[in-house]
Amino acid sequence: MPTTTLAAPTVPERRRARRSPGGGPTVSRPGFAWALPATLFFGLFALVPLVLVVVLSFTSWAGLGAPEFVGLGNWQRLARDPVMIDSLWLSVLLTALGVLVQTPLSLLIGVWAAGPQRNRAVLSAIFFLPLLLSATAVSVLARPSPCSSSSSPPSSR
Amino acid sequence: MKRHRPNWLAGIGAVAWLLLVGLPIYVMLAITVQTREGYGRNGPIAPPDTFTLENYTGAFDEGFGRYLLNTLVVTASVVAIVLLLVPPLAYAIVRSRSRLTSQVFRLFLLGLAIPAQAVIVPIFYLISKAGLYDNLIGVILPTAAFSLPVCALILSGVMRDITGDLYEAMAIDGATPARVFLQLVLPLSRGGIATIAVFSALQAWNGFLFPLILTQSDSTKVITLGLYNFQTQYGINIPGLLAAVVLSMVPVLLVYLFARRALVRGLMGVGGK
Repeated sequence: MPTTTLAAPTVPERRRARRSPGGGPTVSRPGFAWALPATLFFGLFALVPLVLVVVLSFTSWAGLGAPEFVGLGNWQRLARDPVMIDSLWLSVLLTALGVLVQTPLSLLIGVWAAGPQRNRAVLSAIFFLPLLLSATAVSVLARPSPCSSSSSPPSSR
Repeated sequence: MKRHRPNWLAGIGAVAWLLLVGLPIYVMLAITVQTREGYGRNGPIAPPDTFTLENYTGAFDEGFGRYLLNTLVVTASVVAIVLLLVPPLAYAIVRSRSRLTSQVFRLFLLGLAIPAQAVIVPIFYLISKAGLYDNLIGVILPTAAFSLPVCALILSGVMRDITGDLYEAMAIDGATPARVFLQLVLPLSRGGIATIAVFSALQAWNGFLFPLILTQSDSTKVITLGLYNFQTQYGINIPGLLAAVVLSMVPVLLVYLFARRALVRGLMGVGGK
């Protein structure tokens, strides 16, 4: 059951600061129990894997059987792997270009969409569409020639 | 209306984006209503001179109905889990004085930065250990877990707007936290709850990585994987492939049409507050 803690607040809160001292009824507050189910669920499927992935990086494991500890071996090989360095560079490039292209364009569109034009709402709705579409669908669309479809799976979002 | 000086630069940017978004959608729709022969003759840009729906029926013949159903099951379950877990969580984040709760909120914020592909191997391990490999439940659980951080952020932002006076009024009645939650917080954050429902549904519908890694057989295939497979197997039949793409988008567009405000509000909540 949720317990009510009346201890001093750990996080400064505006709401509390505004209240007159001494006066007013005590507001009962939810305890940590309210956050527990979501926390457990999230912990199991996101935080535990995050820890596991670090642990597994020091082991050799084929997906079956028990992982075997190999120290820094994987990391050393990774640092020498040209594909890894290439893909790291590509990710940096993609991120940088994304920011460089999107920021000015969205600023312009934002300024325009804040204006008083007619049909503004309709067009704004259309501008929003790409956010809704799955990366898979967009990748299928963006690749016109089927002959070149061989080995590059579309990235997930 | 016309008093403002038009902003040409912004207008050009807007038109450019409109073309970038609108043209592919027009081309896609135009191609899907042609026969393969008509498409071969006209190319992608010319207006179609044949009209047929056989591309759409063809997609269903290839098992698209099954994929659609699987995606629906995944999406509905993810939304159900999110709606069950996030409102109490957001209530605790906003109202709890417990030190643990603020730590937990920080953990969820950290979760915003965890990319699914970084933890996919341990998740695969967990799911197959639990005997849920190639089972829709195995897709639903991690998908729901990964939509929790954003939804918690959105909903706690909405709940923060409930003023302290209302809580005090409830306290005069001697309300327990549970009653405050049910009678005050839930009704006043209906908009935010709609937003997280739409938002998590969108993520589940478009999810690709978890189904790709965690399922295998045709009976558990979701629509994004179906598209991916269509592309590799029937890549030559472009009208058929694009009809499948359109079919996968229609439900999302319908939701957008009716719940646009909820969705946009949620996104602005993430970005702007």
